[in-house]
Amino acid sequence: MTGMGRAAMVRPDRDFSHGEGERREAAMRRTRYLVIGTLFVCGLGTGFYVGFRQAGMDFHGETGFWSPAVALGLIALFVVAVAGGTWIMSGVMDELERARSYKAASLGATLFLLAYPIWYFLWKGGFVREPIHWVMYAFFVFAMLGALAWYRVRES
Amino acid sequence: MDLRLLVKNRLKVLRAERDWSQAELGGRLGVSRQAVNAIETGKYDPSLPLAFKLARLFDRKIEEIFDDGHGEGGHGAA
Repeated sequence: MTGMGRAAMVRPDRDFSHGEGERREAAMRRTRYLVIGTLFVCGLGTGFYVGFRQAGMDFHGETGFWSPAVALGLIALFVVAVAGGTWIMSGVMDELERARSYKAASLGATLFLLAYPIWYFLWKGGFVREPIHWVMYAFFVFAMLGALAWYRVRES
Repeated sequence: MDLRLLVKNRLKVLRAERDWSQAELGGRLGVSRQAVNAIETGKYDPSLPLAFKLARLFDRKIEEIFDDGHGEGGHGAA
């Protein structure tokens, strides 16, 4: 590598005063935690609402169906939260975190790809009960989060 | 062959020469302290744009910071 190797045209970051980098890193970390915390609280709130609503309906022996407005409202909330959260997170995460997220999502998807047919064939073979959709969803989510935690521990 | 095992770097030395913490370097690069640590310990290879940013920051050539073992004087050189 010749001229391109020594990239000496613009060096704004070298002009930081000592300690400025640490302050900037801390600010980035706070923003990241704020975004993650907000998304977590939104997810927790929605999860509790759905769980308690369904539990209450089950307790009163009501039908398992909700009103169309509630269902559509939850879909809209979920789509906005996931799409918006992904967009916001992509702006505050660095390339290491992004690489970890890609690997974790890939691993989760691969496990899901294996888990569903395995459960389905076991069910058809009379070994287990019929696949439960929410268990499959939870399995995918927890596999992804578990992989993300594993990569964080391994690479820190 | 896992190339990540072969790439070494002098980031820790260069950082120590300037008396910068990992967080200080991370802030200057726009990445987390964990990312700096992962690069230093060879657990993560930075992207080309980040490698250029490092080179610019330390006023070095990329190959003066990173060594894949095949460069001049590298650990895999004949």
